Amino acid sequence: MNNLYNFLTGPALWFSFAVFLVGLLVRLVFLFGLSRERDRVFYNHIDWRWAFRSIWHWLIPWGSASMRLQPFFSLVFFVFHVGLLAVPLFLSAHNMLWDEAFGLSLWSMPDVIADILTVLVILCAIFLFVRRLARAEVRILSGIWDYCIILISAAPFVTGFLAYHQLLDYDLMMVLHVITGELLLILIPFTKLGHMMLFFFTRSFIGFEMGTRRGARSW
Amino acid sequence: MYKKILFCADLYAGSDYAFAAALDLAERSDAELIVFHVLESRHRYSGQVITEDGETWAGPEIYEKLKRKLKEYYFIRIEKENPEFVRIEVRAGVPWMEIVRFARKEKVDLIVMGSYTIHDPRQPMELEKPHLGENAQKVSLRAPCPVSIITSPKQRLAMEKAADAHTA
Amino acid sequence: MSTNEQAAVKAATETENKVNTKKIREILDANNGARIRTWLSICARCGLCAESCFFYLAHNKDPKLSPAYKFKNTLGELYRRKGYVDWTFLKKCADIAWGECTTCKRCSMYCPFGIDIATMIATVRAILFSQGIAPEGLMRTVVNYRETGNQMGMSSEDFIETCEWMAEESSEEIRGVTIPIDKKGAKYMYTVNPREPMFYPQDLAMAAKIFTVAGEDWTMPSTGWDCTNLPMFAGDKALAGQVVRNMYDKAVELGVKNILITECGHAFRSALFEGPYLAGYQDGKTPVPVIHSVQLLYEYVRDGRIKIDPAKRIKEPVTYQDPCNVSRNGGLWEEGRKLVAYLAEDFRDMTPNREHNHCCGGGGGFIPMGPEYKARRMASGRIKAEQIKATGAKIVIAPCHNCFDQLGDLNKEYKLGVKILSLKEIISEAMIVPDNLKPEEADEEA
Repeated sequence: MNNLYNFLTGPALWFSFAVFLVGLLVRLVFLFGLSRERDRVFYNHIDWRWAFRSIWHWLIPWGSASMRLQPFFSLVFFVFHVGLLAVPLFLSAHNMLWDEAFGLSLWSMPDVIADILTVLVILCAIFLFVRRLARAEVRILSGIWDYCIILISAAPFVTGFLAYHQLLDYDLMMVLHVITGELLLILIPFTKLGHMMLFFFTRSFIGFEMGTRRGARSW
Repeated sequence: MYKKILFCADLYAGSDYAFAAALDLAERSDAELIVFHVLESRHRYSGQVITEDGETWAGPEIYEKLKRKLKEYYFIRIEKENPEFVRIEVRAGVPWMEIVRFARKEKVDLIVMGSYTIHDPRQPMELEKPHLGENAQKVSLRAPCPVSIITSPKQRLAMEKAADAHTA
Repeated sequence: MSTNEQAAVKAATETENKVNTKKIREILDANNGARIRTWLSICARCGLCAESCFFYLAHNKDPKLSPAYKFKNTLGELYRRKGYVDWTFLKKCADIAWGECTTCKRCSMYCPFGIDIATMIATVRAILFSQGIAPEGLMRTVVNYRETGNQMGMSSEDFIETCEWMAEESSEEIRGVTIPIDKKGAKYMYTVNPREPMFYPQDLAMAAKIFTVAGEDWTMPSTGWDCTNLPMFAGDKALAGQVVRNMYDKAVELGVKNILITECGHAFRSALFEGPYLAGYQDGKTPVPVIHSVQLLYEYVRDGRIKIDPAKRIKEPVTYQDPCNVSRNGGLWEEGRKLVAYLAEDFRDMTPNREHNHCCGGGGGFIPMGPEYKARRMASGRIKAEQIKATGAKIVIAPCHNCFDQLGDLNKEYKLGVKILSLKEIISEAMIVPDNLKPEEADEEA
């Protein structure tokens, strides 16, 4: 187990981060190249104020008319994303690892907060999963992969939570935690999870298209 | 006196009197008689028209069918076989608009029509009280030439005395 | 229509079984840019777009009518299968692309990523058109555009004669009304929807009267006067580009300062937004500025060039239909409302309104598509009908020909008991004619 763990937090981790960063970069550069060729409409109407407003109104809860139509769902996906980003970045355990490896680290949140956020993320993930099954207009669009992605996204949180609280087999949980975390990192550039980066671009575009050209609010 | 007479046909008995008067005048004046019908458009802005077969496009088949029908209906009332002085024209759109437009283009001398008509050939014909229908109103107001609205079988357009004097 | 034209329309709408895969792949490749690629891969399948679409809402929230479902099963499938599809699939796409979407773009405002589904449906239409599939009604107009440069197949001669006729008639009410043809260097080149001169030339007369009272320097071109662009909705991008170029070229030739669009929705979208790209202008700019009637009429009234007789303001409750391509996709919702404030005393806005208002259901080519699509139009228009009923208005102002006809149909179908009016109608009736323009005869009611 120890060897496996060392491997996972050693070379495998390097590999996952490399794939994550390089993958996202390559995806971005590739799309940029395509856009210069085929999407001139994007470049002719750039106005950063509209891009910013288009992005901002969709980052805050209930910032858009669409979100206000489904307020509970909006709150859930907002909390889900906050936890999804905040916990891995600001967890003290993660920061200790960074410190040990490179002597750098970010601010760490109190463990209690991390715990609460983790539980919230898990609950939100359950809600999202059930919603996907329950709402007809979402179910009809969803394939196996859409359900799997929710599970894979939640897995590091579940396993992390269990490991931290030393429930079930600690070593197993830690290994699973790292594996699922790395899996997630590797998947991001190649799937819809790339929206992490691409959200900003597509929102900018519609901000230019509706806002700059017509003055219409795309939120 | 008149060289071109435009008769506005609506395919119902209401304008038969008008047809008789127009025919009479055309024969006596040696004028060309144009039997004109407009397929009505339901919308202000689109090209779909109302026919007996329902709402449809005003395509050449529709026009041909209509021309044949008009020929059937009106030619039996004319004594001569294959009268050369009678021409049948059909259009689609807003009736009074097309009538005035045609009258302007062809420079007709006189328009003859009945006073009101049915709008939807699929509805049963109701006996309405005599009134001045929309097309009669608009045409008589905007036509580039005199308009005769015939409301009863006794009305004739040709001058009786002159005609009698001619034949006497 | 000539026999050749008839054959072309018939061929295009008959069942043929040969799919030209090469053409499909060409179009797919040409459109495989960053936008479409990203949209297809990033859709999170969250379902938020569903409630924005009036088709979905009107049909008891049928999940197959959500925008995401529509694009996923048409363009998504086409890309997934790399263009190797069969005729049955294409027919199904045609049903969705023309029968279930008006490209109103409301869904792009409700998607968290701002995915523009309307652009994707337009791409599907282009692919279908390349295979000869398109609704018969649109194909007829495409033939007309090719032959005569306008959708009604009206000759230049007939057009100019109609203008003369309308000028003659109007001069009985207002002195000196003319419709100047091909005046070089005029401030506005007025372009119309050919259905106006064809079926309702009073629109031309009303415009002429308004311009005369406002003292405007305007002209009507003898060619390139059709600002509509049905090939854009039929998926014939090449012809759509040609149609717009006709108008632009004429404007440049005459040296006019602006192109003015009549009260028509998609003409504005075509002339100002899609047009430059269709016509091949890489920078997306029109050669001459394009102004819409709603804006100009508002400016006339705001600046006092046209004064509205207070006694003739509309007393009955009035509501304003936001045509998708004038409001949401044209940016003119405030101007429209401010203008209506001058014209009516009791204004009641619909909910939702402005750029979030619903499509009337007659756009995207639906009205010209013809009687076989009417039932669908009426079913999906239920949302708009309910909006109108909820306002309690007796008059609906619709500055768009398609909205006008569609609302007229909805009025009969849902027994709304409203009257539909265009802005020109109201203004030409209610405007104060200055004494020097009054006709020479003593006071006569028009």
